[in-house]
Amino acid sequence: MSSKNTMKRRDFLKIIGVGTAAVSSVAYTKASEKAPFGMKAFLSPEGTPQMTMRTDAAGEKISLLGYGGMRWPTKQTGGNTRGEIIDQDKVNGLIEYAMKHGINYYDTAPVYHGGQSEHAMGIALSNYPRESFHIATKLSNFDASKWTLENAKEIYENSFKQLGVNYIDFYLLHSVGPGKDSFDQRFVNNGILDFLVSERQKGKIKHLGFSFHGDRESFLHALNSNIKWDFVQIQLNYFDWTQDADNKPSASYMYEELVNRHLPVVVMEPLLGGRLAKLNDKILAELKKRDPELSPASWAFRFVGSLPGVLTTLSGMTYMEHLKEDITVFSPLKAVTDADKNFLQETAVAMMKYPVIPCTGCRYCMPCPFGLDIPANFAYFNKCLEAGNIPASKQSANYVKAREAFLGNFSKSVREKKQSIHCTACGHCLPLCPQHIKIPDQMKRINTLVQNLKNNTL
Amino acid sequence: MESHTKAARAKHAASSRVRSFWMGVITCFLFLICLLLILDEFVEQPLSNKHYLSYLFTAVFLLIASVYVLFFVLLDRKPAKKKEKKEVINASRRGFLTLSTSLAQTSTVDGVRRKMGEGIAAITKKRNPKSKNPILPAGAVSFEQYKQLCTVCGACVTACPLHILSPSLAFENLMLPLLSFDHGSCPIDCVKCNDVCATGALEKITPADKTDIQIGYAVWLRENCIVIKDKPCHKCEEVCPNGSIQMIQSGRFQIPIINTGRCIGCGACQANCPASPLKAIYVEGHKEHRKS
Repeated sequence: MSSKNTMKRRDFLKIIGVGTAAVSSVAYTKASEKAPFGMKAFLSPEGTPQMTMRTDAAGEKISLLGYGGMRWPTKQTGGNTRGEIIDQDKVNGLIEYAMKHGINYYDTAPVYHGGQSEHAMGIALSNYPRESFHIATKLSNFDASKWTLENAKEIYENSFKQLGVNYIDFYLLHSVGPGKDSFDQRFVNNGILDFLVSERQKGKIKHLGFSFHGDRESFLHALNSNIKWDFVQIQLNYFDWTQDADNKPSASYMYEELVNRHLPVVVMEPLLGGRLAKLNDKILAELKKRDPELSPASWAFRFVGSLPGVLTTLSGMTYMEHLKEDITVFSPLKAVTDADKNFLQETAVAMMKYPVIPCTGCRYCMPCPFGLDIPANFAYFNKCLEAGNIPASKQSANYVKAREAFLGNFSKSVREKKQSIHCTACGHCLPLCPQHIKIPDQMKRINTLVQNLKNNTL
Repeated sequence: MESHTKAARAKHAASSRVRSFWMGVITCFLFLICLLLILDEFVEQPLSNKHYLSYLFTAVFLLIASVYVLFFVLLDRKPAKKKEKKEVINASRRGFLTLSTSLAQTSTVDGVRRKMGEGIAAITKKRNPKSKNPILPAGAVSFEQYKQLCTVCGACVTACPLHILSPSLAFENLMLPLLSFDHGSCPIDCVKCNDVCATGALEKITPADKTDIQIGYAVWLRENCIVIKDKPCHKCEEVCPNGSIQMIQSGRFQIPIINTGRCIGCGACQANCPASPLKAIYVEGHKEHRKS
């Protein structure tokens, strides 16, 4: 009797053991992470494609795709603070993936995310050896009343603290703007540039440069100053390539100028704040006819990356999908042909016909002294414009009704207190907009639209 | 026991033969079911080596088990004088039988799981139109938040009028309600799941809000589409509620292109795609829902 029991217990244990082993072995036979379908370039296995690298003046290898720190994912919970606090875990995950796939240029600034960007990136990058990445940050002394050396030093030192580094690879004068006088007042007369040059000599800054959003005059003035610049950051994409005006020189003009002076070009806004990734139907159709499997964003990136004078292209990749897609486009980058370039220029011309407000959501205009949420107002207007462009015959009646209900209620997109009606045209925002948008005029346009929607005369 | 007559022993042998016959029948029947599962897989799509082995394993185990059952366990009922010795042997043989069938069971379970579409790593010429990320109803905000807040009460699954919300069978998301668009899509004017959710995993939204939430985006798979077989079709464009799909000329065919910036991931295209058995257009879910 007892021998029978002992046998039974042993059997029982054997069964449990083997059963567990069998079940767990089954549970772990999962498919490895596959790239999303629908992207032509994704069909190659991860890990083997190589990020295209460019060499800077000091001979260091810089990834052609750089990570912009202006558009990190924010926490979507928290009631009033929804969308305002950077999600550190997501940032860590994104930077981990980026580092693993060859991105080694990380751009930030004290004003991005209200100071959180430098801090979050500092935390995320602290997990990697210092030599394995390049940090770029900026002197964001925008307040005209504080254009002093002391204030600049404060901002400068705070950057080091937030990033947790001993040296900064690329330091920029943030957004050199219109008017040569402002450049002198902001950076030269108060000794800031001299200070930064001495910091470069000491090795605290490796490369000194400036980012630019001004007019032709200030561009040349900054370049011709007797500072030996190491690089310049400009807005460059196939839309801005040929559009030339004195108050906003074309990207091709600036690019040629910099190449002639042997200055590496760092590119920002390759997607024009996302606009070149989300094209309207007619233009999208033309792009897809050329190659149905290429995304609009990949065209824009390839245009920029094909220029040999470009050191790196900054993209603020909020989502993992964006990061993966962008990495694939650059690993390696397939250059555009001359025929492609002409095609993209035609596309740019076609895009100019659509009167969208060219806001890139950079938030440099914020905070508005009268409490407006300027980018949100602009986004709402552009959505209404888009809704008007799609024929109702292409949409279901239910969708049209629901969309009208959404757009018809301004408050669903922009909170009452922040709506365009409160704009007093004080002009505080005007010099701050890198896209030179006439903000008060656009607010009037939005007021008219909202009025028409209320009266149902759209 | 020595008193058993020859006749009694013969009768006993005969009845056990009958029993073993029926056990054999049952075992063969089980074997056939398993075989059918393998063949079913072959018919639907060519198997990878991994699948083939799994089913071969199951079949072999069942074969061994049936042989064992037939010849050892059943026919072991011999006169008692050999009983003690046989008991020890029986126990170890029974142990072997139980182990082998439990392994066979788990590999069959695995096989069934795979057949139901969970965890298939398709190494095939046709891509599998299955979203890499789970698809969540609008109002879920993000997969992270959804998984955290959902208590798997099932109210939304019951409330969904199109029955496209169902508990996930994946091991890591067990029972989490996820959307599936093969047989239905999410209409823009329906917010029933949002209405019944008591934990906030699905936030309270209106149909108006829903037009501004992108839960995913449509992806077209050329090799599955019937237009490349010279059967003109524009069903996806027809049914798309917000005009995110348009047909363009590409070579000989009119193919659909998707404005992924506009697409809200409702699944109307996938649900209505006539391609069979694999859909030519499907929705890839966003892990974090976007504003359109």
